[in-house]
Amino acid sequence: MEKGDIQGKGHKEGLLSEEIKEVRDIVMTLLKTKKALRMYLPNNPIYVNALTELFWRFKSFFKTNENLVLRIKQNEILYEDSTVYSNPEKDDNLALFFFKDGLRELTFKNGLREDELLEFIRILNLDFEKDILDDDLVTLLWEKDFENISYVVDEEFLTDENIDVDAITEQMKNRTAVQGDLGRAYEDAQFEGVPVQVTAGEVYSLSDEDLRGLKRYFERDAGENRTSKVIDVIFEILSQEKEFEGFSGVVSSLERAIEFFIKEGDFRNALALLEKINDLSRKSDVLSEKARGRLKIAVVNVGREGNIKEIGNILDKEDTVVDENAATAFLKLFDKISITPLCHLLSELKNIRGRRVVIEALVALGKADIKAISKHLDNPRWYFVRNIIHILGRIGDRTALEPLGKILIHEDIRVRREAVKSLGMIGGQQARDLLIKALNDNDSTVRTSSARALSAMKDASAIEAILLEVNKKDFFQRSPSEKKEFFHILGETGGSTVEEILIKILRKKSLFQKSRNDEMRALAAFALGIVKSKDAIPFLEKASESKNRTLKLTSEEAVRKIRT
Amino acid sequence: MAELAEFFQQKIQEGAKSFVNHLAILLKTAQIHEQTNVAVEQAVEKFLSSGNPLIELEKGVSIEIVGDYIFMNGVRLRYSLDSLLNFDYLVREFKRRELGGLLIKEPLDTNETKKLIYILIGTDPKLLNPFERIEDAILNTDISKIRVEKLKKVKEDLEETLDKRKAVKKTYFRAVSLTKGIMSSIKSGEKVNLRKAKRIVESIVDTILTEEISLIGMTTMKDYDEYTYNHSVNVSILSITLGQRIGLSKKALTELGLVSLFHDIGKVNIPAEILNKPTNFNDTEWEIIRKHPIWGAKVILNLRGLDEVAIRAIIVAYEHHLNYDFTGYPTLSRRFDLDLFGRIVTIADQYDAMTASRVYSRIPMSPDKALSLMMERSGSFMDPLLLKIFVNMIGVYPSGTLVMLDTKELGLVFESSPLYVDRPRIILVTDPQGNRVTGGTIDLAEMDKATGRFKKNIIKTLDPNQYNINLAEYFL
Repeated sequence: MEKGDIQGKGHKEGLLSEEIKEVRDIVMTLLKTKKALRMYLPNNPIYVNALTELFWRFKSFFKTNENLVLRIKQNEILYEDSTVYSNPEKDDNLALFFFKDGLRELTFKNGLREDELLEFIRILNLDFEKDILDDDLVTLLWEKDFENISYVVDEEFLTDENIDVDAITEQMKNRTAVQGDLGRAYEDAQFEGVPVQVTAGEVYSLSDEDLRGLKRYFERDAGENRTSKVIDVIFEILSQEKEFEGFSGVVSSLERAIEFFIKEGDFRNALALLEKINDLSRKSDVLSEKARGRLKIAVVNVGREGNIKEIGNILDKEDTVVDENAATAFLKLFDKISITPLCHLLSELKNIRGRRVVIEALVALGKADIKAISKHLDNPRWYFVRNIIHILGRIGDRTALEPLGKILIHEDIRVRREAVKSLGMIGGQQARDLLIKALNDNDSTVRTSSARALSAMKDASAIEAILLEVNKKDFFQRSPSEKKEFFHILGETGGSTVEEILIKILRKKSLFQKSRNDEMRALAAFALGIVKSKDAIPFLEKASESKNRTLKLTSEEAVRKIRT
Repeated sequence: MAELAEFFQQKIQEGAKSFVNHLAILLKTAQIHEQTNVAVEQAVEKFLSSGNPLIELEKGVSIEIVGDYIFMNGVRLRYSLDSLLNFDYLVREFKRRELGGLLIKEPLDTNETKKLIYILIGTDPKLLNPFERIEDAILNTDISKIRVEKLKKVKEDLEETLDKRKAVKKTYFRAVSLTKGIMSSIKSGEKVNLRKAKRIVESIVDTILTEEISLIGMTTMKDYDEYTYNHSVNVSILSITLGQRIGLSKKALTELGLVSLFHDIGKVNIPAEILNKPTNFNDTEWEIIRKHPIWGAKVILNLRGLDEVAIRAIIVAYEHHLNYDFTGYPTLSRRFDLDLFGRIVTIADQYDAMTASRVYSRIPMSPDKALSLMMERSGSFMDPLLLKIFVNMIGVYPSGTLVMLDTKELGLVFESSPLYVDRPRIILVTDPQGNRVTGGTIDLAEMDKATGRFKKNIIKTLDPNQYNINLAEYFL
């Protein structure tokens, strides 16, 4: 061998080792980018920088090469017979990740665009272990049909049996024992057979109208609501099932279909399906009692704990778009047996959207079983108890008054405040008595809430209770805001009794504690302005002459209000 | 940056499509009108305004015909349904004149464009060597910016052809094996691996896009021992091919292939003794057979729940025997619009079933007879428009048809011709004296250069089933 040859070879080898290093860097950067996307959002600088670096490395490689061909082995990635990646572990093994789906060669071509690379990385990061994902890596690459990324796959593993093309061919060729009777065919052809009349294929060529027709097919196909159609198909099948066993089997499938919709967060279709089941379960003219019973069981099954947990998962996902109205309407169709698991879900939900949906559903379902709701009032979580109180109030059933009365001594102010609101919503004598009791709560916000609830009852004795409260000696000592709130409530309540008492307070004179008295007078003036009492005008005008600035201004304002 | 590059790529593709579209319109217009006609003037103007900016931008443009596709500067143009007719027309007109491509080096003017177009349409494709005539005519003008290329016959060496045929067979046999596996999994209540099914369907789609005729040829081999599995694969192949003809995307073709593979899945519930009964079915058996669309829908529902693919598969399994006019089964309490994929599968299913003879009749029909019966049922049993496209796809003489030529030779139709639906490629099975021959194939689209006429013509068709002809012996 000549010396020059050796030098040439050495130079070549040097270039190759340089190239291998470049490819190794590309693979490592690819791995880094893949990991970065798994950990960060696509706009995170760490990921963006990794992607830029990867793209730059590819570009640099393509300055001297047309293609980058990577050969994939189980635990290795090779370039030009040199290992550029190796990992014996099962986890986080890039080679194995490609290999297990049958990928054996991956080629990146000169011209590779950033958008292609970005999409490629996105595909690599999908969670292929999830059952729900029907596509493997190769399918996704195939669907993307990248212009500058191609691959070679081994499809042997797709079938359990080994496909020996030659053997099967031979087998098929030898299948017919009797050899074809060509002689007879030839003889027959002289006299029989179908004479040919077709002149040209023009008969079958497509016209412009045909193409317009095809376009209409596509448009209709794109706009079709197939889910709604498939539901129709399933109910068509159901209506034709004569045997109970078959009927029950289809209903079980429907239950599973609803489960699927729940998992997908598709409450609109879950609702459509459950509505249909519900409707059909009421049709005694169409179905036997047994069949209707089966449908009712389906409703119960749909609302069982497992599904409710799944619903919770979906509702709690901040990034998932949920049709709240459909979700609420769907839950409202559940059986009362679902109340307890729904209450448990409510106690767990982190997302306000989810809580809103479940509360609305429980308001609708709870009517059928108040106890199933009220039993949660002793839950240690104050916010959950508050929600339960809210639900009981919205339901408005008086059987809830007793447990609500007990909760008025709850240690948390927010709970007590919600309880008085709910008592107001339920109404009735028992509720009123409980609210009057709550006027003596040690928290001002509970007291005002209670007063507000009482005033909303528009009940004489309820108003009387508020007035009594105002007239109490120690009312002076309450905070200005509470006092103002009480008088505001009185003003809103209106009525001659209130008006009379307010005028009385306005006119009250005192030699002692004058400033406190003036404050009460000012509050009465404020309330009279809300009442718009014309009878009070002369007294208000007089009060406007007061030296007490607050009384003066409030009275003037009240007069203005009454006159407008 | 990437978005910008993508934007430009897209714009170039759009420009290229518009260019080809206007070229076709111009050719069509010139075939009707004189050079000075205002319609021609307008067509030239549109052609130039769409083409010249592209020629300038790309520093020259090449339009090539490869197979049935148009490539511009080496990139295959993907066209929408709106342009389908014009693209097809252009491919046909170029091929008829043996013209493989145009290379336009610089932007053109009206005069050069008109000269080129009238040379093209003025060259009678029936005459000998039409391409050479075009080339000469161009040389005799002052057109210097355009060069024409002769149509390249896609020639492959024997080994390559054999490799391709083997790959096609492998795709087919693998699909059958997978279908068998799926059906057996369903029967035994095991989980079905849809990822694998998708991969197989993808390879069918790929094969159809490159070796359509060969794969359709495989569907003519009826293996009665494995009928249900073969039938499912055949229907999938025929449906995908029809889907491809109407311009469905690759993704949609996969979905179509998958749902058509499952169309008869309800047959897993039919007792084997009925399914494989060698004689005709009685009424009770028919009643059971007729339940398979409902059973199919139920099997898929249990298998998959209601995801996107399952929804379509349920609809197709349920509808594939309903018929276009709803005279089929199952009976419906109220009608609904039939699904596009369902209508495609109905056609593919009926054709394969008729020619395989398991359900419709114990005696299989010859492919051409099945096709003509289907044409009779156009608009009643089957969607007329889709059926029209299906007939075009299969050809007037489908693969497997036994024909007698005007030379008194007998042959089996092997492949349909992309150019002439009534001039397929034939495997000769006898010589003019009726003696058995093997190995010879002829192309009926081939012309006698001396006379300008086709060398051989079909004069009669016969039913190969009547003569126990094993197609596998010739086709595999």
